[in-house]
Amino acid sequence: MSSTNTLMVLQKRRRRSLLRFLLLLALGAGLWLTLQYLNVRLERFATLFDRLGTLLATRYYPPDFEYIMRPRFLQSVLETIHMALLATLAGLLLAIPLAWLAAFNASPLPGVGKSAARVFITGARAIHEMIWAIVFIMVLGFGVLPGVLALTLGCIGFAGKLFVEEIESIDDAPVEAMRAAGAGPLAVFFFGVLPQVRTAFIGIGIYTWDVVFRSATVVGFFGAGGMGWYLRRTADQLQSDRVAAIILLIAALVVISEVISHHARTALEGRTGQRVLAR
Amino acid sequence: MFESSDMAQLRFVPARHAAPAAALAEPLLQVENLRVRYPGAPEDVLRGVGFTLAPREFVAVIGASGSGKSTLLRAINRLVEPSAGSVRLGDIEVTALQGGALRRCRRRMGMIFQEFNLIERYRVLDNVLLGRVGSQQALRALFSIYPATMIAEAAALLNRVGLGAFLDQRVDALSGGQRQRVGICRALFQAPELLLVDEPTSSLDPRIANDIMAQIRDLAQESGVAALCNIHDVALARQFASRVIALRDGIIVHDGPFDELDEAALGGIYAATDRSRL
Amino acid sequence: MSAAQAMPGSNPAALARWRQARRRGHMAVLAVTSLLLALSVWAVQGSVIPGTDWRRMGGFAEVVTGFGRFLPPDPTLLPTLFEPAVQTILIAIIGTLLGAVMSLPVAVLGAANLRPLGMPGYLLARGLMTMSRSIHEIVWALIFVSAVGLGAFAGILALACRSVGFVSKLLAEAIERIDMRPVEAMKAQGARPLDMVRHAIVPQLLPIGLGTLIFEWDINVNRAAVLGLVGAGGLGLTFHNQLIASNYAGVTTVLLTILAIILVGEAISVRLRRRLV
Repeated sequence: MSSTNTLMVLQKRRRRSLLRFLLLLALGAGLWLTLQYLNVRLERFATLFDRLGTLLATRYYPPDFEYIMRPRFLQSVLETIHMALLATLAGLLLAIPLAWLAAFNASPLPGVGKSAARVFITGARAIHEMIWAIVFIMVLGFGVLPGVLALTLGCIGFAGKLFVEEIESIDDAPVEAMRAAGAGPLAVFFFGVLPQVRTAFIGIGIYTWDVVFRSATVVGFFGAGGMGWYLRRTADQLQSDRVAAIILLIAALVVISEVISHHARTALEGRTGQRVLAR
Repeated sequence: MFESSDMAQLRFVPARHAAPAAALAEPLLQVENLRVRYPGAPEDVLRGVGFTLAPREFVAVIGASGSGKSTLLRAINRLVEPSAGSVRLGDIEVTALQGGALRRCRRRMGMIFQEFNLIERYRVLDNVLLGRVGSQQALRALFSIYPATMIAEAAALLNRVGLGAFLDQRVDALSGGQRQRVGICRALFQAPELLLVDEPTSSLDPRIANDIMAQIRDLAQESGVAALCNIHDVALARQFASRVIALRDGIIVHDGPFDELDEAALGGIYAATDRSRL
Repeated sequence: MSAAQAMPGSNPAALARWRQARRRGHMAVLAVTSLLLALSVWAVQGSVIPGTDWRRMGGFAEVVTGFGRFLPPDPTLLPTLFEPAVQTILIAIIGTLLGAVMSLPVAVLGAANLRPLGMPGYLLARGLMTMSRSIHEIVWALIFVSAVGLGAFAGILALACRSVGFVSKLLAEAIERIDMRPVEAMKAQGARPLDMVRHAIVPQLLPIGLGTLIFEWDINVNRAAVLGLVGAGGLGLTFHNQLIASNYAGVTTVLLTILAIILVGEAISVRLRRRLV
């Protein structure tokens, strides 16, 4: 009796290994076909490192640091910071009431309001800020305003989703107490929801700044203001040493911003004892 | 209300509701055939509950876990929606109210919770002041801007329960008993006509349960407020209430003085509860 | 503290303290609000007002009509979008896979409990993670386009490099959290390192790893579409073409297609990840 069982088990295992092997084979074939379809010539991969190395050594090096010291460029760096600032502030300000509307457990307008808010947040997030930037440029022309608007939408999408998650994880005891005392929806939000999420929201806000700033550095690529525009110009004109300088500057700025954010969030966590660094 | 403008002498003098002395006065709360079923549940949790409450009456509600005590309280102020039946506060049908009218009605009922339901990060005084947040502009309340008389009243109330020195402490620095007293003050600060009290001592050290119950009963009596009080411990209930309502599996099996409730009936209430309802 | 009677006189002191605390709160709010307002004014005056083409924009009415030109979308375009959509999705998949492969060594190096190459290796890995996340995918694409030319390959490489940061960071964290007991057991048996990895470590990492990959894939679809704008093909290229032709309705159609793909991808992603955990 047990020998037939063992046989069955062995057969099943063999079948599973076979299936797994076939699956891997199919995936491999799929991969190969896809690469062919996409015109990816794998020989290039072999020479890739070689070519990159040469590029880095000759075209990108030495980076043209003088270029990034020019006042017009520095002005664009300031512009980038301005854009990121405005977009983060406006985005966070708008994301809070949106998240309130969109939360399952605390929305004052469950039904249409909640669905609309959720759709808005998802839509804002699903479309890349660069694409939003181009859309706004089509209507508003080149410049800083379309960039700020696009970044704001991106901020709403990013922070909004995190805000909603935070609101949906609160303890509803204070909310219950406020409703029992006959408080209006705004008061229920201010006193039932907000005190619980305040610290987390600040942490999310700081984290969002990082993301927005990173996008702000590049959104000018399509003409939406900021230093990205110079990236486009120098890249178009194949001035690789200048491109390198700009890329290095962007990387440096983003890293500095991240370090500051990290410290800010650590300090916040220290002062309030709440987990803020989870992401 | 506070006597004497000398703040050092603040005493809490409860507002007395102008209720007629006659016991046959119009009932404060009338519950009729109340049924509650939670969405998605196979059966009703409350299956036709009915009773009346006179003004200033202190009634204990006993029953095993799952018998519907918590649901009953929350159905009265509609934190939980009744699926059938009627709840009348005075001459207003609570189940028919919507929006602002419902909120105004809720302000007439103060709720005291088992887990205190305070705002932990706020200070004691702010928590008590939130009892009247319904009548304040939310934005002003957010910045703790209240009329000075209100603040004095709340402070006096806290003084009355012995928390006068803790006005400015954050709630999360307080012990369980202290927190519950804050909760009691918040409910009373509403100047309600009815207190809905949900197992106020179940989350507390049993040794202070007596003190807390005493404070609730005393304050309710002083202010002339009626109270419907869920109590899990029958001995405690017997100590503080003269009338008891016993719930079992969603229906009332006893409504009257404690003396009429004998041990056998008690055993019946707490034993052999329909397990599927827990 | 038992229910001690409040001493007369202690109450007003507490009230005064409360008032003080409230005032401090008000000051803080005022300070922060003023700071943020000042920053905003500085930013608007410094960059938005001088940096925008107000004349081209026209008035409010023109802006509204401008946005109105995006509707209604052009459904006739849809059949032509199928192939670019497939391309974009495939680029995203391959890019994510490549990123996953690249993430493995980085994650291993960057896990605090393994550190095969010691502290320098750990720092290098963490540095790579940060670099990958800090450099925008467009910048990555620029670098690779100059190396391998326009086309899907550059896009795939850019996505891979961009994904490494997130995927390896989460993998490293997962590695730091694994249960060492099965590893210990196998070590006691005298198993080879490869077997230990395959049977004790990998199964623990698989759910998180796959979940992270699926999550990152969904984001990469978004990025792949954008990379098409700088030459990686797919829907981005279509978008670019519609843009150049000032075909507003076409632009909307492509946008909606991208949105649809991402939403579907997100739904799949959420469902798959739930089944993994």
